[in-house]
Amino acid sequence: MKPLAASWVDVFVFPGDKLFKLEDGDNIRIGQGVFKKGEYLVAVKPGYLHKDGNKVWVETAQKRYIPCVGDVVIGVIVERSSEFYQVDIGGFSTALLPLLAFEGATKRNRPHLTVGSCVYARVVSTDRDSEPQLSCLLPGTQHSWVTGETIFGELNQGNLVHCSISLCRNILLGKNSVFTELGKYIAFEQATGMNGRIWVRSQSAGHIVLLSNLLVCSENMTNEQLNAMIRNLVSKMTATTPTAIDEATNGR
Amino acid sequence: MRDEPLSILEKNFALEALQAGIRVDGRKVDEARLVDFEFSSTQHGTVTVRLGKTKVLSSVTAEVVEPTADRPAEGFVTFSVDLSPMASEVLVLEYLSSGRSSSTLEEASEIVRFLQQLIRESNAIDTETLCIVAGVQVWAIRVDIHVLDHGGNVLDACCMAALASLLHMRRPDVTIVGNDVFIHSIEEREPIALTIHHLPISVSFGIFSDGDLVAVDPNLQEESVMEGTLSIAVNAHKEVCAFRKAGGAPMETTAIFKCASSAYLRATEVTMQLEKALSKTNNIAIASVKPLEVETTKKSFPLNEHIEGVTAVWKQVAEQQTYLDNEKLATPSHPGVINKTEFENSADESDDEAFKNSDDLLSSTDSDEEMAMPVIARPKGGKGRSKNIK
Repeated sequence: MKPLAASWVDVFVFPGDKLFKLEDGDNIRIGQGVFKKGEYLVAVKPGYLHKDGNKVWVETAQKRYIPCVGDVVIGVIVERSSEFYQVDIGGFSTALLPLLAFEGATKRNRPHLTVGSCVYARVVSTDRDSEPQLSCLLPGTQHSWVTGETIFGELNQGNLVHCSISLCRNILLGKNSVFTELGKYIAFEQATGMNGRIWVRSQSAGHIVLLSNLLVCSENMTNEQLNAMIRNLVSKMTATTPTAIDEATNGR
Repeated sequence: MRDEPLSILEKNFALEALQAGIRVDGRKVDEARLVDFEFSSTQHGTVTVRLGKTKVLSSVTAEVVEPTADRPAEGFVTFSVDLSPMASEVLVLEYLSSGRSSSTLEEASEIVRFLQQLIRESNAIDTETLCIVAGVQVWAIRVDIHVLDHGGNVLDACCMAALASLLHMRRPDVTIVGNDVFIHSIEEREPIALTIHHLPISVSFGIFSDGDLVAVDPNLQEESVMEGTLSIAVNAHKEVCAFRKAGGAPMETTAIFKCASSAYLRATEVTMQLEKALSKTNNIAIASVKPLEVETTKKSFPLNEHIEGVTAVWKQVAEQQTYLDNEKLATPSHPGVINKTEFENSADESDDEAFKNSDDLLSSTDSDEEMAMPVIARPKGGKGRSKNIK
């Protein structure tokens, strides 16, 4: 693979820009925003070009999710039929989640999700002629859905945050430090879906509101700004907690 | 913004947060979202209003028509609200189920009805000054409102947008010579502002859990669990101009009075912002009745409102941990309630000022200054008729 410019990585590209010239024996995985045209890789979306190993993709500020095999997503059940749940994953059409696609589920013993329930699942097939298929199964695990220890499955309590897909990707790639930084101070659970939805749960409603709002505003901040803000908020918090006040009054 | 159908989880959380005294977007229960008025620099009477994530565009047009036989000396003011499916997925689903076109949606017609009550029936706009020749020609003012983004509480946003665009509107000047009516183009003569007597600002409250919880300015997530709304339109004279309670949730009288007084505080705040935004746009000093001096909670429009929200919530979380529950119960009553006698005194004072102001204004329009000013006078303080039509 031959780059067609001195530096094609982390630059802004426009649709139609020729990115790479393919050579014999290339083994490349192309992601969103890149299209193979003849012997060239061409950008089809405006955005930043990224290259990681043999993966090439263009990162856009897109909100519409395009399903892709292997993505983890958070969906909302819209309808239930005899074999499938229809799940809204923010894509062009609803996705199908088989009733039995849960860890350890049998015909008699399976989760009963209602319309409006949230599920954390992964995309297993995206055929161009049919609806995308989801699954809550994870090969190689021993847990059953009954115990609630499975990674995928229904999400209970907490709040769902809607954000852009690039924010989700940055969080999953570890480029956005909001969770790692905040995790040093407060306890919480989170599930990030590739379809622009993040689920958060914590000890109190106040904590969840804080998390949700921090997530939304983390999109337009650098990690340094974000960390400084979190530290600032935490110092305010600890300054007024009962223990701190007790210590202060006892000291006097 | 394409918003997905709300999950049960989000609905439950909105209620859970409210019960804990916090809002999902980090506000307090009695805290409204920030308002932003963006006036068009090229077109009179066009304004975009943002209320949090809600975005509404309003534009005003004027047309010369024949009046009705029973009211020959009165012009027309009509409203139309378009809730486009682009604004929200919730609306798309509603369209599909009802099979109706955009402006016939139930919610849209409810907003139109409220706007009529708010602006026409409260005499905020003087329809008599819209008369050119009685029985022959009058102005028909049409306010078109488009909801671009549905982020909750569309009603308030629409009311603010309608009012702001009417204030910003300039209609062409007219002269009558004998039996002929001349309509001057904008280049030829300075266009004339509409006569608006007072500014009724609508403030909506969401009613939750059988009337036990009332939160001002609900957002979309909260609207999904709301049992009813209470909308009160108040002007700077503390007059209730329109009142609407929908949804059927019960509410106590004392709670309604409490809402009315906090609606007044909010209305004052919005009025000040509206006047500031308007004066900034065209450098047109708009004369208005000075609102009573009240404390405003917000001074400016911060760049990132979420950051504000987060700090507020964090403080609240800290407070909750600090105080014991019984201590919280003992907190003093609503700070927004103004002592009645105190209020009456100050209202009287402002009345006198209002009369002076409006008199000054009328005389200045008489002397034909080049600056066209919208006249906002007290409804009872003499007819605020535009003197350009004689």
